[in-house]
Amino acid sequence: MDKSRCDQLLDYYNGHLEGEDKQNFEKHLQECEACLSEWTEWQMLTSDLPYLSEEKEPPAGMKDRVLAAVFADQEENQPKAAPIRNMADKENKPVKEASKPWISGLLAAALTLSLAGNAYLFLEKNKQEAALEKTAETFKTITLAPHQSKSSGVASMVKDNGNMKLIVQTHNLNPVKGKEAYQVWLIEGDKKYRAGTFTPDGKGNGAVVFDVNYEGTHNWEAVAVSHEPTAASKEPKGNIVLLSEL
Amino acid sequence: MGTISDFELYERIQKDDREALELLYERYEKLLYSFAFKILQQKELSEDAVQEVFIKIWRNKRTYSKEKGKFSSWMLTVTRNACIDLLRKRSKTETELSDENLQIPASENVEKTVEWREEREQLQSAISTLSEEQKKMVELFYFKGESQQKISESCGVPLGTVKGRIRLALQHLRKKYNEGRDKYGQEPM
Ligand SMILES: [Zn+2]
Repeated sequence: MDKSRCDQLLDYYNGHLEGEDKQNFEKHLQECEACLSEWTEWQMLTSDLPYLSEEKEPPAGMKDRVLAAVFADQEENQPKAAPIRNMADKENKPVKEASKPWISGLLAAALTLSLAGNAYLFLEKNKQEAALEKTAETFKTITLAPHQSKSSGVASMVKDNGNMKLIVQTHNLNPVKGKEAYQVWLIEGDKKYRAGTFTPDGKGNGAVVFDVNYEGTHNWEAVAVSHEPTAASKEPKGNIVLLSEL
Repeated sequence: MGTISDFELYERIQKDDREALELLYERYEKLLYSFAFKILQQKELSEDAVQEVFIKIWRNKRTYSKEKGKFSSWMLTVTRNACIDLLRKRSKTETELSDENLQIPASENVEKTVEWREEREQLQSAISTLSEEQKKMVELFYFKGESQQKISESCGVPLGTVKGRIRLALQHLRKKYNEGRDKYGQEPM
């Protein structure tokens, strides 16, 4: 056992150890009784310190925003939304159907998401996507027409292992400020179903995959993308920036 | 504090009970937000940190167990980690952000919010018995999440003594705090 590691306890406590150093220290923590008992002591010694904080009133509307984000991809009768960043930059692979070039990477991501079962973990851990697109088939790909905007986009309905997914890729969207977000809607008659939420990158590019798992049968007529004041809108409140019939 | 314990709420959350998460949120919103603000000194980031904590609780089930100590302490640790993470990301991208904006009173909560004024006052009086150097070291270590190297540099003390000095300060603080609590017969939260 390497006793010199005992000096790293504080840096480990504050998350300053990375990679191999971190692993080595965690191993050390299991072997070194002195460190283990000291670790417990540090936790005990610091456990009251948060109560030194001055009371601050949370900002107006914080509860609604936080809960909306927490439940965002678990809405009942709402599809799961999983923003995928940087997908557009990934290498494109050929797809059997003549579809837009970026679809391949997104499909792979969609499948990985369904395999991982947890989009949040996927984003956090930044796992590599598996190239599984051969099991999915594209039903329909449409170009999203700009609606009083200079934005552009493409949407695809894809069936993956029996599950319908909606893939949306956008370009040139205006940047979002504060709590603003873009939302994707599926339209059937005069009903609008929220498919999910995303925020584009600095260049206005966004790439998202949503599960389409509403109860009952639906005859989707159109896809719309709107710029919303918050991610919590249950009905489109902001401007529709992209719209196309399916 | 309420009739439902934190742990019972946590158990209900394991079964995807949204109401339980909402109750837990209402109970701890102010404490977690205030703690996040103490570290981050900025409204939006503090809200982001609290949001991250509840996303973790909701989506990564079964991360807490009773062996990890009190549920509230565990949540505060998760909050601190989220804040320090944000603090580090922020210091890489931006130089300084600070606001002390007007406080807008939040809507009246159904669930009773955790309050900690007396704990804070007793902790502050315990802190006042520390030397200036000790105060600074505790601040840099706990509320800024700095490395031993940086603390050693900013306080001008040898690297090898940083851990021992902070530990001594915290032990002293705890002793004073406990004395104060005994005097007023208060229960820790
Ligand atoms: Zn050790």
